[in-house]
Amino acid sequence: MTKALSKRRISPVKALITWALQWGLWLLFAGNTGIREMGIGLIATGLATLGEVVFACQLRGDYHFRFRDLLQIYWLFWYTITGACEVMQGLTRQLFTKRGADSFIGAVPFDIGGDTPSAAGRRCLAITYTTATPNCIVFGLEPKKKLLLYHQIIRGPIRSLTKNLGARP
Amino acid sequence: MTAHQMIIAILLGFAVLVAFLCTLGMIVMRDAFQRLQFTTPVISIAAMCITVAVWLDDPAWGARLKMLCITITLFWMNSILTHATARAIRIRDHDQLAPEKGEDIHIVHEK
Amino acid sequence: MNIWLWAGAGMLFCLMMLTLVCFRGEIGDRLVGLEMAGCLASLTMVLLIEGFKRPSFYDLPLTLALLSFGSGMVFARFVQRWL
Repeated sequence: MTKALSKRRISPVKALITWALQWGLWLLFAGNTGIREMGIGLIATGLATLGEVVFACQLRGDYHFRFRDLLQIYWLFWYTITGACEVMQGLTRQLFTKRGADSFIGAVPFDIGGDTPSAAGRRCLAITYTTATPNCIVFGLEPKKKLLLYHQIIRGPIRSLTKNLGARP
Repeated sequence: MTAHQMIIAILLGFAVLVAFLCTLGMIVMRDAFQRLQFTTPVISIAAMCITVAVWLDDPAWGARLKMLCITITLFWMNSILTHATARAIRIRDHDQLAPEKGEDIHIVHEK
Repeated sequence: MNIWLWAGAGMLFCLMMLTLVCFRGEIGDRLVGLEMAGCLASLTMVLLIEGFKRPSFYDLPLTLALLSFGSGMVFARFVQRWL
């Protein structure tokens, strides 16, 4: 079994730091540092941290996000605007033309990568960032054929951010 | 009406217009994937406009931060949920994710 | 009535229109309508909160946004496997 697929272990120090951070966020969110609020916050965030540790220990595999992959987020602003215009274009076609809007399902060759945490993180970001933009919904990665499957209302070119995260059209 | 109120009115009017058009798209579209496309503009455009309007109009930092939390939560959760829903619909309709034999799925190659 | 309440009324109208999606069609179409309704309900709440100047209620749309994600994932799983 590769390292990426083995069960994760969470160190107690990390769990305590997570608990402390969550407690701080709780107090910030509540806007109140009274003794009762602090006590209830400790209990609630303690339960949340316990749940997170249990879930993390059951989770197989790990994710590691490289900074240059995370930086692709800067494309989102541009594609949000252009994608929204494309979606409205699709609506206009559906309302005012006989043929109606398209429902285009496409596939693009995708560099799946291996079972490493950074490859898993890259795939995760590719799906999340691409689906976050209008007019492109990723509904899956096909690992055997190394394809990324997506749906568009108005057929368009593959987004640069998807190419930067592994699409190889 | 002051300039400040006019800006708030334009932002909110635009947000409601986008929501209305997306809801109309939900009603008139033919299949589930096309309908799913209309959830994203509501979050990315309408919610952003409302967030900016709240930041301009409400001086309380609690309200501003919570509105920002709501928008960020909606934005990222919607992306994940849209992917999960599209995947679920695809698997329900075709019993698998991968293209079937004879299915018209265009594999995109760019020069 | 102020501009926020008018915007909230507009959003509520959109929410009512979504019932046309949720009450007819295939199960996948209805699920999509439900997910959109969750988002619109959160935004409607925000507009009404600002309209009525009750900032202490901001926890409600935030909770709704988080829980509608959870419920959407559960429904998607059910639609994929069992329904």
